[in-house]
Amino acid sequence: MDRDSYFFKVAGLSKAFGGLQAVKNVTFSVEKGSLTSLIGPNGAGKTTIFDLISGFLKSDAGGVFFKGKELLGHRPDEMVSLGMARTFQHLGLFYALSVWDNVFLGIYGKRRERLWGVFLPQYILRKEEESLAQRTREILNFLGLMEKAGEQVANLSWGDQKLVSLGRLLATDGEFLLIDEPASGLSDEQIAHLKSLLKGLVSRGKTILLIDHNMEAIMDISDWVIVLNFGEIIAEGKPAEILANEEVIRVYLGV
Amino acid sequence: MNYLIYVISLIAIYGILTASLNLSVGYTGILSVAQAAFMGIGAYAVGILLTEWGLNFFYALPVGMAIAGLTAGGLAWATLRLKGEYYVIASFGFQVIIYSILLNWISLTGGPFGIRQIPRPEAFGFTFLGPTRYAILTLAFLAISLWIAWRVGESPYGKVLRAIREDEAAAASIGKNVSRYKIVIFTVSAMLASVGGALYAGLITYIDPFTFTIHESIFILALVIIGGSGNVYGSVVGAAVLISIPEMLRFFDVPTTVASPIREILYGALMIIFLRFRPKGLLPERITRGVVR
Amino acid sequence: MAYWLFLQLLINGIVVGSIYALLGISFTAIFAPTKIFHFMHASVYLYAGYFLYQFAMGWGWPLPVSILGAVLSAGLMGVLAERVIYSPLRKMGAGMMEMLLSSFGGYIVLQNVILLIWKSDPRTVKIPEVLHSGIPIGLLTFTPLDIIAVITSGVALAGVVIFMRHTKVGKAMRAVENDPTGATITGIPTERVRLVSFFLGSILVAVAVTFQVLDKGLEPTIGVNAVLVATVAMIVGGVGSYGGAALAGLMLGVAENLGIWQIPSEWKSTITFSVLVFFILLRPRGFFGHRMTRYQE
Repeated sequence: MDRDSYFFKVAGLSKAFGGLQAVKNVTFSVEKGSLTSLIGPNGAGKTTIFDLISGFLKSDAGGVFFKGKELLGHRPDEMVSLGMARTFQHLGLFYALSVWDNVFLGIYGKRRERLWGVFLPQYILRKEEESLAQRTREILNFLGLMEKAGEQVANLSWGDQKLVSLGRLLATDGEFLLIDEPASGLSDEQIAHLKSLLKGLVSRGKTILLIDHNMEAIMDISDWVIVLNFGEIIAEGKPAEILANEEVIRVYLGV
Repeated sequence: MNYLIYVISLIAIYGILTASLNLSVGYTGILSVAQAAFMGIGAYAVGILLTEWGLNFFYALPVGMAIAGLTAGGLAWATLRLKGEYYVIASFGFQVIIYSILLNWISLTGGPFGIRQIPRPEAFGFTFLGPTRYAILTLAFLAISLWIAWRVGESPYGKVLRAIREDEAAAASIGKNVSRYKIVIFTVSAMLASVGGALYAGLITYIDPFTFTIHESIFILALVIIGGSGNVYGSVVGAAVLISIPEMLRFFDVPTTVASPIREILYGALMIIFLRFRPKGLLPERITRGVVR
Repeated sequence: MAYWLFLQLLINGIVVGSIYALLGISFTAIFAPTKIFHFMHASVYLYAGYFLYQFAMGWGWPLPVSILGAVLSAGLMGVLAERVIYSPLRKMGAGMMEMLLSSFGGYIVLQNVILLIWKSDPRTVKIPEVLHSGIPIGLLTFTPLDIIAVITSGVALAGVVIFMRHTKVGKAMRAVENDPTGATITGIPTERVRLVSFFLGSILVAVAVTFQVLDKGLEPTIGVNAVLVATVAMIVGGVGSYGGAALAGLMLGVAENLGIWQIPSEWKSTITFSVLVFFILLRPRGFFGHRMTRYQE
């Protein structure tokens, strides 16, 4: 299969910090329209891979290909215009701003991105702003956050903050979404809600790559699972195969 | 009475300087101690062009802004990828270099003797002579500066700046070119500071390098903190408080060698106290909640 | 003839550079583990000088006692800065910006207290004449004070390096510098490490000002310049490298003095800080420092 036909592919990715090899020769690909999970115990290198893919870290070796283009060397903000966006494990929301603003700011608008746009009279800006506001409302409704739209994010519960982080992700209109630990800190009920949201996104044509160390949480919604340990891929396959894989079980129970 | 009006002009000028620093420090979280350098560039542009070249104030002003803008843009482009604590050091170095140039390039700037007898601005035959006319000029510029700061602050652009202040990585992850935002706002901030410097030169009619030191930069920082970072009106309130108090002390015959240190101790202490106990300043930032329907 | 002049300037440069090396080391001791751009270091430097003056000239203490007193007082000031200003802010959850701003505010307050008490006239501290008298060697001269300065600087550098490599506290300081969160997790008492760091940096800077005062006298403006030099030496040498800071300080002193040959002396500072800005722009990690990451979070 030639490289260009891949939706997303990582080849030979490696990264070392001082003496520690955090990511070792990682190669995998993601099919368009699927939900792939990258799992492994804490410290396996999952978030490092996200950082490498999304431009926050420079890799020592390897390539990252998205829709035929080499991604490495691009800035994180450029990734968004290429169609890829990510969340953070610590969320990194804009706590001083409202829920609405957190999502609203994620949307790209030509005039609002430039300083001169600030001084344009209202009637010129209005059309652009109105369509952006419409998209924000759609996203907030999809996530069930509309009633809380005016609240300051710092005042929300963790579960709601996670939803805001998803909202901000969706605002970028990326087709390839990288989600870091979506289930962490959530109750079972919230995880169920989250799973249905993620399935909804896939059915709308999004491709998702997510990280989690909690296997059961995401197994039944994943199309493909990649297992990482100490920076290397030790197994990959459909969820059922992975659950039966002895080495995977050992890694999780032994740790 | 004339003295009072002079103080009003001074407050207006510092209001402009504070508003300018608020754009970069208050909204965007770029900690810079170079504001006095940009103020000095504006002041000396006016001083040199008016006294040596006979240029009109209103032409010298944009020249100062251009120089300030270009140097600020260059400095920002080169250094903004550095983390905050290193960026302060770069701005510190820049401040010292500019001061040193103002002090040592005697053929251009008059060195430690400075530039004296700077004429008051005039336009279309109308001269801004006399305290009242000058006060009106400075207040007009203050109004424009405050309007700019307000428009930026309330716009989505301004919210992105605050987002950058909170978490640069997150801002980048939603597609914002953080470097570009920072460079642009830092440049605008410097240009506005140069306007303040130009007006300062016109007010005092005499400038020397010793005004544009790191102490001055710290003073403007203090005004931002005390007035409330991220808040536009706070800029003016802070300036009004801190400038009128020592001027009043001078009024009561307290000698400058005592009044000046007292003012400095006052604002230094207020700075620390406000950072500790009232980080939002006198008039805290009020961010609109955005359109919600 | 020019050859002797060159050597004399070189010697002057080494002497001055030794003091600069001390400044660089003192600042690194604080900045490397805590990452705080401790602008109040300028105040500690200045106050140590004024304490020395007050002890030796005001209260007539013998010179060695005065020096010791000044050095210890400086150490105390550094510790107080951490306890009274930085630590409470950190506990409040304040960020680096608030701490830096407080440092500037503290500097302003302390600076102006000096102006109120001692006014701005230059002061000198009397020292035995023999220390000042030049020792001619051929066409070169230097004073015993110069020699003491260079030796002290070397001893201080050696002492700091040994301290960092072979004592528990020193190693803890390195750990905090390289990985602050990791250090906390592995049980290193980071607060205590910070206090040591401030104490160490402050006593070193007091030693530096002692030479400044004994050689050239004291006036209120020397603080900022000292911090500038310290910063330049630290950055150029590479943050975290004591040897680097010392080497950079030495080179700076030599460059300044040799530079006089060709460039008028008023431009000395401009050269120094242009070097700083150059390094910050093009090689932020200096000669021996660590790489810096892109985004602040």
